[in-house]
Amino acid sequence: MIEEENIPKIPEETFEEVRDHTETIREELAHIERLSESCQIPALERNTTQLRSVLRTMELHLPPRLEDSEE
Amino acid sequence: MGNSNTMWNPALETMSREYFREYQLNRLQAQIRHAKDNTAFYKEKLSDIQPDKITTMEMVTTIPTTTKSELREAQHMGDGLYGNLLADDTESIISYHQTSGTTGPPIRQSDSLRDWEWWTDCWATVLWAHGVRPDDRVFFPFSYGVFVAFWAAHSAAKRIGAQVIPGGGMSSVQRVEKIADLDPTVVAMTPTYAFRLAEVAEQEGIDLRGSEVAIIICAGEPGASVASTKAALEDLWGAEVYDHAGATEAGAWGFSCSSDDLGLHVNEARFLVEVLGPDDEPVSPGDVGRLVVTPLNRYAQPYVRFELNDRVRLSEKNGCDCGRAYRFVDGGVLGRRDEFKTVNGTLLSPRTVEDIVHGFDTVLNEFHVRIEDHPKKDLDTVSVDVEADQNHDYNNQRIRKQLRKELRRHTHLNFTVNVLQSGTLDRNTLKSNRFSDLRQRRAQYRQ
Repeated sequence: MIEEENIPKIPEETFEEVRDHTETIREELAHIERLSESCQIPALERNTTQLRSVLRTMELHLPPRLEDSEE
Repeated sequence: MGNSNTMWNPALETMSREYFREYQLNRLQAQIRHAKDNTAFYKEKLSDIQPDKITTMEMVTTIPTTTKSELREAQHMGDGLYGNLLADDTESIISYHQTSGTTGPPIRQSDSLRDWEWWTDCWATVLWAHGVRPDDRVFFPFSYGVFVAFWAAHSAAKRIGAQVIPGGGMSSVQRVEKIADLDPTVVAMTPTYAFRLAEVAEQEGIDLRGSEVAIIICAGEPGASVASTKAALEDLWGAEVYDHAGATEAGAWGFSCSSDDLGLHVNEARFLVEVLGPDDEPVSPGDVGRLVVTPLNRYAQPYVRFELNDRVRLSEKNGCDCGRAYRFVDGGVLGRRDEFKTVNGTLLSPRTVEDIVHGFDTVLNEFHVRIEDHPKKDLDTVSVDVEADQNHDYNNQRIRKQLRKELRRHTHLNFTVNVLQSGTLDRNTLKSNRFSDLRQRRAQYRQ
């Protein structure tokens, strides 16, 4: 059993900040996706897909917003 | 001419020569700096080299080359698995591989996540050039062991978005059954194993020519750039056959394209490739030299001017029908430097024999060459064992005579030709060792 005092106490503001930055990356990625599509460079397109996939996994590791869990 | 759909990265693959030179010099300087700053091996070896002063391609030859034997020694000095070769902390290493050890103890190869991204990208360049697309299904019939083999190709196929079928832990029979069952459109393997699987498929009554396989990607051996080998494989599989060259230390540096010319493009965005003569100076296009490769984006275990020992001939042609600006080596890898044998004063390359044997449809594709001392005279003898193809109306005496004549015409040597029953010679699942040099008396001529 893990003792409760050993579980890191992360302030909600920190998660909120990570969520904000993740959202920024998501918006930037959408720009990159549009641009790389117009460039027709498969390497850019496929690596953008990879980035999006990594970003999704990262989002899965963020706890839901407090207001989300209340809904 | 090429367009964006035929290249993984058309912006890089069509870059002008001038831009390439500048790009490569900048990357080379950065790699030297990285290797010197982070590995005990290069800190000592390149102590006199100041990367900022390497400002022209001509100056590159002032940097000492790196040999396999130096790497073997350095990995056993210092701490840990990789000794003095490691440029990163061990926590950043995500994969272990090793060389096959055909010329000595294996070299251990560490790769970090960004190295693996580099491997993946280099192989994606290869696969895309060979026509692999997101709607393809790619089968990798290899052992998934410690040799790097097709590991990075597996990652690259996924990066492209293709569906990957891992073919490890299966017998050859199970693999051809998987091909019949799962309908892959692409299969990647060594040329030796492509012949072997075709043979097994025939024994099992599986029609590879009627399968969905449209692309065969060969690596590990130069066969797919040997005209007769490529033609024989295309006939057996009913598919386009492409060539790729790489090495554990150097990375995936070369790939064939859609042009009719046999050979390999050098991925110049990721590698500085030099072809040097015996005086260690670059040879002119059209001349054969040895390959020296610097991977330009390798971090955990970087290499500077690695002596690959392969012999290649840089093409004299300007540009390629496929549209790539990358330089081209005619006929791909012509052989390893230590594979060339001097027999009775004449240089013999395994590849020449391969080209001739694979051009004969009355014999199977396996063969074995033996070079021995003449029992009485101070001479060498050379013989080749081949297997008669029982599907043809053949006559051993005629095969022997015709093959001997062709071999003499191309090699200027008198071969003894032994025609054996099919299935007599050993079959390999990775690379073939088709040459045995058993000479004792004239050992000095072996290389």
